[in-house]
Amino acid sequence: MCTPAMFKGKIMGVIQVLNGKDRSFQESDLNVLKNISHMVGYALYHAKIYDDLATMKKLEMEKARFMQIMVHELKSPVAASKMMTDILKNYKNKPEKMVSLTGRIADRLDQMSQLIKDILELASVKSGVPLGDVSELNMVAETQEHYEVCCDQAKQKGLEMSMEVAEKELFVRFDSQGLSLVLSNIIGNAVKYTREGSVKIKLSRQDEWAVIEVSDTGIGIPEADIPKLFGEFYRASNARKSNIPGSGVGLAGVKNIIERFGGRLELQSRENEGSIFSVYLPLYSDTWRS
Amino acid sequence: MQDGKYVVLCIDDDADIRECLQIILEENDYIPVLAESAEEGYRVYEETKPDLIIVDMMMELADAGTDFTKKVREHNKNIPIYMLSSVGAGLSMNIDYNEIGLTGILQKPIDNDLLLSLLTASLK
Repeated sequence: MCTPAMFKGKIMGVIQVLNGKDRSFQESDLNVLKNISHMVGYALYHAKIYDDLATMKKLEMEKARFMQIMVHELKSPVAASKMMTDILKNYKNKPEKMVSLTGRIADRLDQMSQLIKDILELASVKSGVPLGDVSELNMVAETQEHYEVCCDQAKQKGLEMSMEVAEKELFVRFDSQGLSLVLSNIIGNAVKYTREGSVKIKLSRQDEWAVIEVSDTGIGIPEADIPKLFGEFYRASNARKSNIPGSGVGLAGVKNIIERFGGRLELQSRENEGSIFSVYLPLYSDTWRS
Repeated sequence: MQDGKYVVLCIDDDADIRECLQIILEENDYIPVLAESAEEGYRVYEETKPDLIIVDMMMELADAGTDFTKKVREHNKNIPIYMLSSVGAGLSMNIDYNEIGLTGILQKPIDNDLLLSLLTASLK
């Protein structure tokens, strides 16, 4: 007697039962076997899904590892060229044209170096492997650190910069380097894409969320570009025309890592008026902490 | 120290990086000693007894720099050791740098001013 082990209309296998005694199979035996076959079909179907998922995950990690090695190989010659250019820049009594050219070579190498760094970060984020330790982090202290770094850049551009904190502590459970990537991108971008005016950071608690809101009076994002902004290598049309260097990689990684930790990223923007990026991260509650 | 100058051991498999470090160090009154692998680096370390070490993280093997550092730290807890990385500080293989005993990490391309200020701070 045999029955197919089926699930969702697909035959996953066949169960065969042999009778070694002088007794023929009854209708009731067949019904029992049908029930067993259904359960086996269900189990095999899900086992295959788990197997496929494990294979996909492995392939994804191999791809990310390959990307890391490739980026390392790309970055090495750029790093060496940049160091040699810097040495040339420091030589005194150079003709004026050479001063200008070595400066421009150094700038282009910086751009290339930044692009490679962005690609590496995105590859690491997409591999699903945390960039740093996953631990309880105080968003207030972490944001303060990035705020201070960006204050210097803002000051050089003549921008007004402020930070408003409604709570002393806002604990989240997050990848430490991942959080650094998120904060440096959203605060750094606000400073980078604002020519005049201000950059304001606001930290607050909203129900079960730690919320960081970064608003600027920068170039803003054209409405048509907003849905595509978090795609890899996508840059808003006005950013591409602005001569502000960028690769369009940073925000894709930021969104990916925020969502992996159960958070969300929201954006409101108007071209030529400014943007507000809001990051919502689930609060690590006092109960869990204790 | 040799002739009143600090000796800095630079280990990197990239000949251009070694030459750049050599130029920067010589121009600023340090004595560079160079090696192109962790193995050669350890030999040079034993021969020259440098005052500070700069070692690349990924050379012939991905963890050549960390293994070299651990080996030196087995018997020398004090010498400053800086690791060169070209893959980003936080992204490099989740190593606990304090546990290994590194003094710090320098990202490639190395900023001349940063390098010189670290040397001054470490060797005063």
